[in-house]
Amino acid sequence: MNQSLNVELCGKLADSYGGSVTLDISPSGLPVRELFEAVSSAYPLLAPILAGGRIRACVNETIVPDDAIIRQGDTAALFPPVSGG
Amino acid sequence: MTAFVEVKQEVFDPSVCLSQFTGRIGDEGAVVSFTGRARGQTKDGLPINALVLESYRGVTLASMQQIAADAHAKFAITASHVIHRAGRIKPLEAIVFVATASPHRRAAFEAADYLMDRLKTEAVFWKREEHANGSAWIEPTDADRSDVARW
Repeated sequence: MNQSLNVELCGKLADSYGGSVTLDISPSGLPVRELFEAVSSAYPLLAPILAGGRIRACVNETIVPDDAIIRQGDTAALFPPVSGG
Repeated sequence: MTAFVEVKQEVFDPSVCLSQFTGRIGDEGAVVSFTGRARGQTKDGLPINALVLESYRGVTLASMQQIAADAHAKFAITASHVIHRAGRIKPLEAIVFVATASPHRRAAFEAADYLMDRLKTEAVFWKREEHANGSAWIEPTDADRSDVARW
């Protein structure tokens, strides 16, 4: 049974739709690269920036590679390039 | 090794932080500190009302702790203190403070420089300048990337 996944949007990613968006994901989860595709499809204003290759996914407070699997109940976030100092 | 890393929401006084740092360390002969302050103008000369620094849960602090650990592994420093502001910062308030200590000066200088280069490009923050005409996100520059590539 699909569940809703809340995806937090950080930094400039929050400019278009606010600080989070939701997606339905299946019990088998989905890889990060498919998460990018699903977010781009459902929230098209994010598509250009997600296609730029500089956005990273963070799952359960760990930055993960594109082949990582996001599962129901995970805490997911998308990070644009970071800048401290 | 003693690495102390903090994210602060409130204003801090770098001179007090430096004094506390030197009070905590032992008999090292070298102490280096760096303070980064919020600028008063954008690159285009517009007055800045505030710099807003967003952080993310425990990931921000963890990224800073990793950078500090790497500095201790790479240089012969005995202690370090890194403070980074988050939230809304007014011009000329301190954004970042780095202090390092070592028996001799070179390691302390280099470690402070290294810490700042890594923080600029890898610490998990997002910066937005607010000015009279709106706001703009600030990302690492090519110069920031070439600075960190030196190490």
